[in-house]
Amino acid sequence: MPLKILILDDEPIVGQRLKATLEKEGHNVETFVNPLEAVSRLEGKTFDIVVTDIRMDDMDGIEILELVLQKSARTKVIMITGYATLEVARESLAKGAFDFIAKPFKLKEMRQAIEKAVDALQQENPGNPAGN
Amino acid sequence: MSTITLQLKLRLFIYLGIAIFLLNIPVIYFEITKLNQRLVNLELAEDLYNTILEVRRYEKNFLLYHDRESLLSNRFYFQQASELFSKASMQFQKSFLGSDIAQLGKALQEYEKFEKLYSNPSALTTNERIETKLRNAGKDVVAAADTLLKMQRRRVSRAAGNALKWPLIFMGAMLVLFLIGAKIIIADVVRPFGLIEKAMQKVAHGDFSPIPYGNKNERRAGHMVAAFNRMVQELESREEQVIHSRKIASLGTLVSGCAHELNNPINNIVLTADVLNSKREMTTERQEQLMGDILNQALRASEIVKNLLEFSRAETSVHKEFDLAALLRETMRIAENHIKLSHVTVHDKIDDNLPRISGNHQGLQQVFLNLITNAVHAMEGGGNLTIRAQRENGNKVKVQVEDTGTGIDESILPHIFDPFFTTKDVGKGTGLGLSVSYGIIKKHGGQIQVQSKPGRGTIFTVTLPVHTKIDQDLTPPCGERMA
Ligand SMILES: Nc1ncnc2c1ncn2[C@@H]1O[C@H](COP(=O)(O)OP(=O)(O)OP(=O)(O)O)[C@@H](O)[C@H]1O
Ligand SMILES: [Mg+2]
Repeated sequence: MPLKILILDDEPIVGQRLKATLEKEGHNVETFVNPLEAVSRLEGKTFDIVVTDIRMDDMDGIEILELVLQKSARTKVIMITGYATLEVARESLAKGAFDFIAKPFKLKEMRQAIEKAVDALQQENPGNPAGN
Repeated sequence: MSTITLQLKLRLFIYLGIAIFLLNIPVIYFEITKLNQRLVNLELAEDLYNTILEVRRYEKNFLLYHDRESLLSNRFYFQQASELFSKASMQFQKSFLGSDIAQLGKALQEYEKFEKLYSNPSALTTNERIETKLRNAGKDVVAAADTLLKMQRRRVSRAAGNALKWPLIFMGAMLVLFLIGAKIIIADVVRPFGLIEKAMQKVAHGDFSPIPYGNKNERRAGHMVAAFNRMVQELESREEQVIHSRKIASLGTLVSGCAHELNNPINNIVLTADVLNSKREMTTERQEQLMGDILNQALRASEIVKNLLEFSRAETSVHKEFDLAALLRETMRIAENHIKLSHVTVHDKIDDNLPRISGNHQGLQQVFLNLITNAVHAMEGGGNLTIRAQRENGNKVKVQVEDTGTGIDESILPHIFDPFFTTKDVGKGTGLGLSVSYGIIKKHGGQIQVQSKPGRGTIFTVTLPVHTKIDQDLTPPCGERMA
């Protein structure tokens, strides 16, 4: 079933590649490079899955995570980290992130993470993953 | 004189002083003994003189009254005078005064001759002729005794003078010696110390210029100045090593920044290649677009690597012309990671028409990286970092690094440029950043200044001449390679 996915990374190529792949799988994907634009979009719409980079110019991925969960606790947030350091990963998991992926990653890894998120969403709320 | 070392000179003076002092003792002892001897002699001469006067008194009585009594007394005193005389002549012989007394001896013999004529009591009658002769002989004896006495008096007073003179001469010699020694100490020790103290203050601020062998005073202090200059040279080569290790330290900052930076293009390449690699159908156009992305991202990665290499290259004293604005922006990029982690906002106020400047690209980059790193450290909870750069009058450029951090307390402000001065925890700061920066700016003929308001922030101002002539003597002969 189609999911609403938001992808935020200040590297445009990341959004482009993920969008192409995920749309082919039938998901509904919106991509952003500017965190502030993404934030205003997140305020207007509830997504099933949010993928965000941790390190960005104007905002940090952890802030996005907190904001998303505050608005909709069931949204699954996947963090992309430049540093595959345990510390950042632990912090994001502790703050409620669903998973994290370290750069550089392959499309398959991202797809697997998203599949896991879909499974989790279905278990929580069978039949209506989008919650509406 | 200047070839003799100071140590030798001082030792010489001390030995000379001791020698004079030691010589003083026997001389004074000798003089006092002599004086003592002379006093004994004088006493003897006085006794002799007084006895002779007694002889003459009874002689006069006898010649007046022709009495036996007076004659006997006269005899008695003459006997006594003769005894005293032989004692005196023996004594005087001992003190080499034999000739003084010879006259008196002769006069006494003469007197005795005439006196003997009265030895026969029957001869108590008067004889004008003999009486006159006796009287004349008596006068001669008194005159000789008087001369002897006076001579002894003179000798005593001369000996007393000598006994007083020698200590005075020695004291004078000691005084002269002391004055010369003091003069040498002032010229060779005190003045050079002043000179060296001044030079040391310069060294403390990273200026390693040697003391010039200019004027006479400096030449006099030659050995000391030479030793100091050797030390400064040594220190300077050490400082080159410190600059080196600083570079390795800032390399850490750089590497962590680069690692993050490199990750992005690599990730982009991985993703794009992954798409190309998938067995999905796609148009040639799409394929070309993806290939182009890979190429661009690869170039981006190599650019980052180039930066890293540029910075780590060991040529500490390469002197070239370059774009200062570009250097500043590059430095800001190197520190970007650190800046972002501390929630610091950067304001770029670098003038667009900055002149190209000549100098050591890498050294200056290190200076600005140190200043930026310090500024960011001072703003752990976030703040504003402003980098200003503009042209100044007189072919100079001014770069300011301003932060809104903790500021620097007035009490530590004078020390921040000192090597190893740090307020940071062990392992966090080496305290070398500013001292090394000071040295680099100094070598460019520039200045580095600081203004700070505790609690408000700090401004570091670097002024550089546009055309730097780096003093080649101050740089090591040939670039050492990084270990
Ligand atoms: N911008 C600033 N704001 C406040 N204090 C500063 C600033 N710059 C320097 N200081 C003070 O000066 C000291 C010396 O700075 P310096 O760069 O020489 O050494 P450090 O930063 O402590 O260590 P290092 O740079 O070797 O890692 C610092 O410890 C700090 O107390
Ligand atoms: Mg420092």
